[in-house]
Amino acid sequence: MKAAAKSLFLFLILALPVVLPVTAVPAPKGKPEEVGMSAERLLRIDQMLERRIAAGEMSGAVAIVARRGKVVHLTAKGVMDLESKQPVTPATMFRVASMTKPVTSVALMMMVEEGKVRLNDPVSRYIPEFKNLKVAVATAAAAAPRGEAPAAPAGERGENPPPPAGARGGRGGGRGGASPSFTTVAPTREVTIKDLLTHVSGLASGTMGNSTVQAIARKQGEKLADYIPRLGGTALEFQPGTRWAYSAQAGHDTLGRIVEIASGMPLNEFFQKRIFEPLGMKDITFWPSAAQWLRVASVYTHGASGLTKNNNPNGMSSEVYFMGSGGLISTAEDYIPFGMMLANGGELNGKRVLGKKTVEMMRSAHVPDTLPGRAAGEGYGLGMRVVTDHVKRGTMLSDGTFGWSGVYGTHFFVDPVEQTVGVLLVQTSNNEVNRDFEDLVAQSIID
Amino acid sequence: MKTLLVLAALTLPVMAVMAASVSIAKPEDVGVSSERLALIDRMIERRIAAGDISGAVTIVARNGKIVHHSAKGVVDLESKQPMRTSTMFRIASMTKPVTGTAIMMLVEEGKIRLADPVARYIPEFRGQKVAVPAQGANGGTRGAGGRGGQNTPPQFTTVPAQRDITIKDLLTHVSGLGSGPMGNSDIDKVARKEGENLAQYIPRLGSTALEFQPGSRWTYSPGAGFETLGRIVEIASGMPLDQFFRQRIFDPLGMKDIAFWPTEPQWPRVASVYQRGANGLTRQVPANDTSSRGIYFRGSGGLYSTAEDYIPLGVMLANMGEFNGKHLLSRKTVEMMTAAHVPDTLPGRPAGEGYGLSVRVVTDHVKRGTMLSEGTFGWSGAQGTHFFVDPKEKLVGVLMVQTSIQEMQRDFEDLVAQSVIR
Repeated sequence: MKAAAKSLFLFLILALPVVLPVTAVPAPKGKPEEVGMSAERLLRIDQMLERRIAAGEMSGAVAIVARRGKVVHLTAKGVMDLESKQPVTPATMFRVASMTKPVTSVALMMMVEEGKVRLNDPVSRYIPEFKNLKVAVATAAAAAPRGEAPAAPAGERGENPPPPAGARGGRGGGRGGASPSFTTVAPTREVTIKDLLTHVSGLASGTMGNSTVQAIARKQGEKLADYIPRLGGTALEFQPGTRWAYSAQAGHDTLGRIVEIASGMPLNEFFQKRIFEPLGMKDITFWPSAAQWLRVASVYTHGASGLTKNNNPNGMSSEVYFMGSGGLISTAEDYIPFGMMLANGGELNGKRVLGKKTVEMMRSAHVPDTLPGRAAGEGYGLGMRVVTDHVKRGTMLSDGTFGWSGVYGTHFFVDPVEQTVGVLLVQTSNNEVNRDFEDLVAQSIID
Repeated sequence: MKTLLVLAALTLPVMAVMAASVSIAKPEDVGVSSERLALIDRMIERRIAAGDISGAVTIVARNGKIVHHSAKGVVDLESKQPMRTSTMFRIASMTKPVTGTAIMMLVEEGKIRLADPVARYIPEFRGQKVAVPAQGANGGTRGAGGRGGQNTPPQFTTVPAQRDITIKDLLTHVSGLGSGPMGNSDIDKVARKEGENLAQYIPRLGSTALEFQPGSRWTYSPGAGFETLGRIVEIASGMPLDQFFRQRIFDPLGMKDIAFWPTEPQWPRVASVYQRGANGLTRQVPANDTSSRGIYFRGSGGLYSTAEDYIPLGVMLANMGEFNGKHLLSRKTVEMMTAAHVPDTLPGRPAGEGYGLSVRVVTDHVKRGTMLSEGTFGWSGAQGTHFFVDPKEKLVGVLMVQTSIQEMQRDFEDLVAQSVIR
């Protein structure tokens, strides 16, 4: 095992100078056994990924695990692209998609900490157009069942929503077919910041609302400041707070705009200065540099005929529209410090990003698992799932574990009880792999 | 204790039994009273004197050390051979937690998952039907698990199952497979033939009716459920079940005299089975004696074992998966295994006792009426064997008898509990 760990580090040392001259390893590394984990058991993660790659379910993956502030496992398997056959390395970048949402949520909470915004503020306090929001009510003739997005087969648990509409005019959050028929009524209350963080706002959260979002579609070159106010003219899918329904794009994009307004900084700059730099996260960005693009893995969907390449996977990333809901592209090593900061109560390597109480607030179950739309044993915190009952959810991780996933299959979790953090980066959505990864990390704990 | 050690020293060379893998400690060194432990022997002696049982072996461990190991009575009422610590017993359903451990080892490797439908591994289990008693019929008169009676077969129709049964359903006895008279009458129709192994027989269970909709109630599946899990272990590991048990569980835990089918030298050490009735003890020839023969590895109940070769499993679980430096399971896995997946409120469960993955779990010791702690888990066998692990007190007890008396199992639990003095 020591040999395996050594060869891993040796591989890193060899790979780094060739592939990327800049990346510093931000998080301290340790031996698994020093933090109560088994190197031998951690290798089961590698074996699982190898089996999945051999079975043609994914092209490649990077998995990274940390405990008690030390990275103890880093593995890169498979290829970045099935044609080029370039191997995946720890330096490979992945579209982390909705794993951007927890970053936007942390940014928002930093503004709460400064007293500049508060969770109960109506969104209209910052974006007055949101005063105009209406609530959609299906008419008798309406065909589409309320609150369900027919174009989101993989999104039944809200983890793998369809890619949001991007600069290239891709599909919105589940539209298609005949427009649903509905009338509108006034909302019983205004949408708040907390509603957006917890996906109970109803903003662009289903077929009816999405048809109104399509009508005001973002145009090429528009920024958050140009586009977001127009969302105020759309219809909410349901009365705020009455159910949980994933807002794949609009909700956290609006939060991103609120961060810009409250901080006076473009969102990408805020992320860079306030989160990425303090945490030493280097290869994470809304828009990779020309050199970084060479390291970005291809996206594949897995179907009956094996893996099919997605030829238009960059709709969420942009140089001008900083999609707080899903725009980031990152390496595993440059995302895990974010999770380690949260696991450590808001601080990493002496740099404090959030207060301890703020992290506790974020990882509390603001939405119970009993609200319609949530899964058994899994409530929702501020921008992240929260395991409220690990037995009901069927995970070996502890109660209180939180995290989120991305539409292209990326996944991260923080177990605050065990102080473990796991990040799995792949570019093929497979919910089962995410769950396997969680249990494989959990079973590596031996103290 | 001294006489125990002397007895052990005397019997070991004769029986050619290897030293037990769990070391021995003075009870007082681990917070247990020798004087109070002796009350277990008094209780067993009273039961033997009353003609309730022919004999028993009891063993208790705390903090990973054996503090009590006692053999009383005889192996057989005719031969009058004394019971020894090396006596082997049909542990029956105490095989289930071993199968449960094997399943969890494969979950740990990411090869199977609790939520997987059984049909993923055995396609014949896809789209099973659920039995519904026919109009006017009483659904049969035989109790759960009681096959082969003389009663008329139950009349029933079937409806589709609302969902396919999962590995977790089988581990927690909520699948409905082989769990009552209607389903069991179907199982009789596909009965295993002499010489068939798990791979040949188990797929046929897919054609049988489930007794109820999966997850809707708890009813013990004495045979089919854990035999199916045993087959899944074989498929996922690529090893016959007996080999998997041996290589992955028994050898690492130093469990030597435990097997699906004893060897020639082991057979003379196997205790006879008796049933207690109005006329005292009647010798039984258990039907399962003909069903293993090193061919059909009954993950539901096929093992024979001594007390000291079963307790390492309990000691490993009490120690959260670790045994003498080896990690058979991780702590998180044991926590998952021993959590109450089935609450004590689901129809079929008694008050204060939920169900985990292959083990009962005490969710409320007051309601269950045991002096053991909340979170205590374990299981028992049809011939009266019983084991428990109290993870809070790090206490493990194994009771080996060959006459089923539930009251004595509860007595054993409380007698072990009352021997804890700090």
